[in-house]
Amino acid sequence: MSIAADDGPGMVARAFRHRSFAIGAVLTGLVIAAALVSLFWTPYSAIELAVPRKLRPPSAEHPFGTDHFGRDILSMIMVGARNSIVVGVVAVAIGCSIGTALGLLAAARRGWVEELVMRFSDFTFAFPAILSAIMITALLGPGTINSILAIGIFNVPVFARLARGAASTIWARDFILAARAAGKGQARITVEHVLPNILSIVIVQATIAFALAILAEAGLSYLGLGTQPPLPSWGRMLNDAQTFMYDAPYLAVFPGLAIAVAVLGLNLLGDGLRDLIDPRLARKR
Amino acid sequence: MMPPEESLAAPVLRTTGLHRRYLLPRRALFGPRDSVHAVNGVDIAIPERGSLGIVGESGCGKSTLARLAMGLEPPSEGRVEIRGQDLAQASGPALKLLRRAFQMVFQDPYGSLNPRHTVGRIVAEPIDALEKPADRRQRVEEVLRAVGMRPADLDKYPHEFSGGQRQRIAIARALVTRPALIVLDEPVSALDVSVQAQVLNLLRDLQEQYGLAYMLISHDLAVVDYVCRQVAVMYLGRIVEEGPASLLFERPAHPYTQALRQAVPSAAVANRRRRRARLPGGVPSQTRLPPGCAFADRCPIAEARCRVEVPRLREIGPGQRAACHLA
Repeated sequence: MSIAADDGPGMVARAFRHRSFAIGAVLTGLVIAAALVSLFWTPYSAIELAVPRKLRPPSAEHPFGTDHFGRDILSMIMVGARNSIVVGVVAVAIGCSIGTALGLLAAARRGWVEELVMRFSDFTFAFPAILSAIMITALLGPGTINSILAIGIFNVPVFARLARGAASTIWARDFILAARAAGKGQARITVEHVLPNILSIVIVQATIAFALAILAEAGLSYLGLGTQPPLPSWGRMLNDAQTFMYDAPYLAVFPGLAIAVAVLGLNLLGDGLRDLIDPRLARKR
Repeated sequence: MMPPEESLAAPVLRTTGLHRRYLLPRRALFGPRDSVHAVNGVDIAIPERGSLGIVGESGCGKSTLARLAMGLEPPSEGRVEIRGQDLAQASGPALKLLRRAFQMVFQDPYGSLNPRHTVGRIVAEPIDALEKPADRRQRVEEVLRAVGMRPADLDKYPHEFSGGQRQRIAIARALVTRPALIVLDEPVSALDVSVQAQVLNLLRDLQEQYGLAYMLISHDLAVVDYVCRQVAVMYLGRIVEEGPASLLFERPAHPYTQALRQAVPSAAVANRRRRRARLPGGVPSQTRLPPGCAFADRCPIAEARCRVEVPRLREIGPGQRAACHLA
């Protein structure tokens, strides 16, 4: 849908006057930039071992230090950012598209369709997400794709509930009655009236879900169920760092900071977006 | 039904034996399901260019009647005819054609306009869905001018307008298909008193200009009196009295209409004091309607017969009909 359609010229200028959006955009941009640069350049190889250089503290040569195999932490974080973003984007895309579609369907059809969708959500919610993700990856085997699937599946009911709740309040509005009086059917009303009105909520949820997906991927990798070696991932870096907590604390600090920056940036971005795409708030700013 | 003699042309709107019940959720797991009888056998007819006001207190079923007339929900019994065609039978292209003939204006101009659509898109919605005309933009500009807005407002959003202006936009949307009938559900009750008069005048002018028929639903007798030639009074899902507005307000025959008349606030304090003692009791439950006249419990002149036998609408004067044994 067209978010841009709601906003006149000067959207970009207005966006950056919004503080949390600006900070969020900068932090998120940093992570994305690191990931993009890592595609063709990293200070050192993030994969090859160089044991003679192992466990060096941060220095001019290795700004974030090196790990127990002598790999450059900065390089690993850059490649890890790529990994986190891919997992986050794909998992949220799965959860958001399927979940929102189910929620819209439930709100439009009511009756047994709604019951079915909501009971399915309850069923999925009944399991702690991270435990179920562990179960799924244990069942299907560890790896990036399976962890994406596991995280994506757990985002489906989140978006389904959110979309159904928001869509139900829109369905109760008089402009829906007006559209029905104009002879529009459920599908058309959903696309033209309901979706644009719940889009801002869905986008905000998507950025937050993105942050949670990055956390979940780190968690799964920490447990050894996510991205497999030798590809670096933030979660596994934290796990490796545990062993050297007292000798080389910076090993835990930098991946931790990377996760924090990504999660905080996306949350702030979500908050800012919510304000910016609401046309009623837009004019006041 | 409304005019004394039936004209040859079919009325724009005719309902016959219209009922609407809403099932309530079970109170016990295997208990019976109660239902609310919101509309309980309503027959109305509005001729071309006619105007029928429907008055009654909240909960009497007048908004349900409006939604039934608009085909927004199906009747439990009875039928709705638009220009002689049964609304329930029409479908597909025939329904699209029929829908152009009747449009609706809602009570709350803040809820009835999609905040994310421009005025142009809102006003054009019925023709976009029903006709797809080549002269879309001209049609939209024409109706905007007719309701006193400027074509320059086309690209603005609803939140940039006041309540009165929003209601004008809603009226423009109802006009754009060039309908024969507009159903107005409390069109001014959400507006400031000063704006109400402007919108009512606009409605009167538009009726003249476009040859519209109105079904106007209101709890405000003055609003109905100002816009409508015919009035029907509803109580608990039934029409208890109907007739020409002038006659009905001057010589109300049904005790409920009389009570409604006297409930109109007036500056005279003495009047107000007398009104208080007028209508004892509350509206009976709509899930279990009392036998006989639904108004009997509150009626100052009820007799034994009123509690047994349901009064039918009958002619009590030229063009005036009332559902009261004693009228």
